[in-house]
Amino acid sequence: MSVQVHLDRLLAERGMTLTELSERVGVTVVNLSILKNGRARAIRFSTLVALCTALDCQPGDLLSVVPARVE
Amino acid sequence: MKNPLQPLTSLVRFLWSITAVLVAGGAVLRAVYTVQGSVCFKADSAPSPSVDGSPLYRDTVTAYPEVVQVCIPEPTIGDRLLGILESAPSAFAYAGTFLLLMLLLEKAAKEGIHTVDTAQRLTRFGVYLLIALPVTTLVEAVARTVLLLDSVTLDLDPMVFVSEWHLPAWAVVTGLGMLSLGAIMRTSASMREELEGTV
Repeated sequence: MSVQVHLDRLLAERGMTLTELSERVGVTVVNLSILKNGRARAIRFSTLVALCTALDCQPGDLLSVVPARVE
Repeated sequence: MKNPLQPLTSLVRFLWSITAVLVAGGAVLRAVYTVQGSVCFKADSAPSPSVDGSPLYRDTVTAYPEVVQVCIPEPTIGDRLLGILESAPSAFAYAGTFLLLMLLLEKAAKEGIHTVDTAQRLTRFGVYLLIALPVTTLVEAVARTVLLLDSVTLDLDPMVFVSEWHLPAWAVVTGLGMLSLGAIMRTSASMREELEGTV
């Protein structure tokens, strides 16, 4: 099982860029890229709350658990 | 940033160079001497006459030599082989210890001290210490005992190899310590990776 981050979709739906989001939530673009590309190992509650507030969404809209891919 | 593994790395590199030269030179000299000359070895269990009444000591004093050097003037090929096995393996094991430690320190300085890979190398070093030095000293003890049993006229218990085995306790203790340290480092390095991946 792995966690998928739907930051790309949410940004596109809201017409927002990563830089704009970075300024709103106070998280660096580098860290948001890590999150967007699925390379993050964990997410702080404070980051999650800030993202959900900025994107006007629920954690479930941002994250989903999917079965691990079989290579 | 200053390398925290210095001056240990330089010291180990120096010790490795010295040990490698000494081991290589010693092995060649020993091999030449053993192949051409007599086979000599020092044995704790070799029976020795007491030097009671020797003019070297006062009348009331009795001296008992604890280590006797035994020489076989006309050794067989087997004796010569045992003569090499009696002292060479641990020298190579010590050289290997310094080589492994040097590689461990150099890779840690290059790739990072607090990483899972460094922890694994530390564990491997611990396993090497736990196995290599005790086994090589055991091989030496067995070779020495076989030479001794062939050299004496009385019936010696083959179990005398136990008293000939100079088990390096420091290697066992340090090896166990390295295994524990490796396990602790692996856990903390994993935690560090998790923390670094936290957004």
